[in-house]
Amino acid sequence: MDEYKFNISIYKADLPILSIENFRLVQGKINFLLGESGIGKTMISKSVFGILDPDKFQTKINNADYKTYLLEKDTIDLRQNGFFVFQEPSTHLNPLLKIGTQLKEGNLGTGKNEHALLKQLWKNSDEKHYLSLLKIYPKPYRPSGGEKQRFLLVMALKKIDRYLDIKTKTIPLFIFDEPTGSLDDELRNWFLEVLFEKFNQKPFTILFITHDYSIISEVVNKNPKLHNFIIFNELVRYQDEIKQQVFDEQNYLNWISKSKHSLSSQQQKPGKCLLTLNSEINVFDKNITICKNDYGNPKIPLKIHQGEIVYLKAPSGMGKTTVAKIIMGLIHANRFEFSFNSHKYNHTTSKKKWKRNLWGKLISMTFQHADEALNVNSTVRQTLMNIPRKKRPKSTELMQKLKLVFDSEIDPSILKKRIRQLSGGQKQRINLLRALLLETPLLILDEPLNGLDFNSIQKIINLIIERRNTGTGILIISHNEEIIESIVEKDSIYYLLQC
Amino acid sequence: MITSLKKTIQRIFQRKDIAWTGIWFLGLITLWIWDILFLNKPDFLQIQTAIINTFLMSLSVVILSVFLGWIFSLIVFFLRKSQNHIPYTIIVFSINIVRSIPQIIGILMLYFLITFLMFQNLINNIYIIMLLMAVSIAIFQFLEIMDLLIERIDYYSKTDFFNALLVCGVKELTIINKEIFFKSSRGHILNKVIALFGSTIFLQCSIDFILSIGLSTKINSVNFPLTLGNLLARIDSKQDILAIGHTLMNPTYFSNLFFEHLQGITIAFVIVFTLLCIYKISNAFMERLES
Repeated sequence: MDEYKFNISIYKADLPILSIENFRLVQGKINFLLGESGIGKTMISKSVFGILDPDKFQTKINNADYKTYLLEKDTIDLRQNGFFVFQEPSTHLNPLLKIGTQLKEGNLGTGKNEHALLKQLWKNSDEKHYLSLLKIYPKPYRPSGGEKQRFLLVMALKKIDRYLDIKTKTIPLFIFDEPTGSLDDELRNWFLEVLFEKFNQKPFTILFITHDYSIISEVVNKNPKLHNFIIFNELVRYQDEIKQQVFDEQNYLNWISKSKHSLSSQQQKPGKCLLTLNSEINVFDKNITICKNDYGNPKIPLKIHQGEIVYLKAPSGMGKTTVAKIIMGLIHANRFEFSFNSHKYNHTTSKKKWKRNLWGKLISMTFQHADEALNVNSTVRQTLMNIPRKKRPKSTELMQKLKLVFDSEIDPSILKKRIRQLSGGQKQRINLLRALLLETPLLILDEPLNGLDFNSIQKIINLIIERRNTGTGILIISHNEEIIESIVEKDSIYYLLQC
Repeated sequence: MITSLKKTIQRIFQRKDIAWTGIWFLGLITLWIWDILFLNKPDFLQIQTAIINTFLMSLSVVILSVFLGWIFSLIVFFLRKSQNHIPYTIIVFSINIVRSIPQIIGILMLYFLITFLMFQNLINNIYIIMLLMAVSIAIFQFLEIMDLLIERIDYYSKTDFFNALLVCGVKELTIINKEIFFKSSRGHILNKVIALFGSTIFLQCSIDFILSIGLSTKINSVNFPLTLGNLLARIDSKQDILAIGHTLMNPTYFSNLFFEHLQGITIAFVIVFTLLCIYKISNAFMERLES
């Protein structure tokens, strides 16, 4: 099989943005590209596909000027025959065209298979529902993020169908940039099933960008026939350089099975109950119910004990973060009640009570988007120092803590770096470390593994387990089901449903 | 050596705000040297005092405006948040009254008060008079700073960053002052301060000019602090300005402007050149901030 090889350097206003040597893509194979967020996966794929703005960035590919690269026949063919699914569905869809029209735009054609594809990606939904979405504009009617993402996937699959129907020697490139970011695991698996089925008919080149490492189990375990066609690569940062290296999927699979095994062997008895949240919540005129399974029955209160990790599961957009924010007193719900250490909190409680008793004292929380949760203008030292603690930590102590989430050879200069200079994964680690430093009896972690590479995921999971072992109660909200379920006991998993 | 000098100059010109600040100072220094050489000493001293007084007062206005803007932005934010409707309505109503008065009229009204106090011999120290004049202008200028600061708080309080710090136990006042104003809005505040300095010079000159034409028969430009505005209103300066018009019809008279009409030309140049430079500095600074 042929290999695409690229040396890429990207500058903006004479400042280096990204540089990678020998970025490889094997033709006719499924190339998974893993790595922490912000490392440059999207930028590299956009530059390769020829959709980076040549006026905004000074880009060189294989030592050629980007404008020259864009005019090369191979690049034009890449764009014409392939497809690029953007990670943010809202930016991909045209707000001024009905979704149905967009599905037939350009060389996507009328698409005789469109209906079948829609049916495959909306397995659980009523046909009327998704057909009605075709008649609306992406804004202001706003289908959900997951629905928009599925429409983009249908577009890509239609383009693949077109390739399957014609006789050509050219192998097109299909780039999927975090294509399942807004989908739950079930929907993600349906999509992978459809994609691999088409790949089996006639191979094409896939670049599948993701930081969802749990996709590995699904891909490897359910598609043994494709074993020789699947390549896992990872982008890693060595000091200031970015390198592509082969990712050994067995490392991940072994780690997951080891985690599951140690969970079953370490049956710890949780301590006293810290928090009890009543099962029914009314917020924004919607009823949210906490249940023991995803069928909505039985409704039970969510309880978090000392030394227990509780996992709150629900499809995207169901209100998991909202529940966490209600517990933290940041969102005012119409009806809710919880007790913490026998103190009751409900919709009539004054916000001062949270401020006085809970914030930073008994509960701390990490927010899911590190970019928004941190002050990007602060330095790492200021971010970690400026939280109220009994004793102000020294630089050496901070470095020790940083080593828990970064590599042990981390340079002390990181303390002086501004948050905005860090990659997405580094920001996420600082975001988590800030909450962990507070040493509160209860910790709420909203998507703690967002944007992390495998190495960092392992470190964070170890830290979470360590904290649990010291008696901290931990509530986790995450879409990394496989990883979180490997450290949480079945009895501690709760589901969220909207009525 | 030459290369590094070249590089330094290139770097300065790449940062247009710094380049314009340099041009401003260079222009004023050149003018000052020219006046030393060609302007008579009494007039030179008067112009020097007027420039210093004007810039000092503008600086005082900016400092007072930042202080008032900061205090009022916090008051408005916390009253709005506490949902304490009566004090919030009173404060907002009072602010809106100040906002509804045209700046020049409002400042003139406060100048009447200063004139009255001077008339009653209650104040006669020149520095106190200057401070009171600065306060009068600041009352009608601080709203711009206040609006900017409230806008910054509102923007950040909707983001997770604000909530994330709150749940860490950081006090709201610390988040606003340290994280929002100091760390995240310094550039915006500085840009506003530069623009405010420019608009204060313009306001001051306009008002002092009006004042010098006739506020009172007893209190006039002679016992009010000397500023560029009231110096411009003097008959000598007016004649110098008229000479510019005369040059348009008689171009051969042009060279005389720089030797025989220096008082008016200097004042007009300082005002126009300063306003132009400040406008350029403010814009270039904002451009750099956004990029």
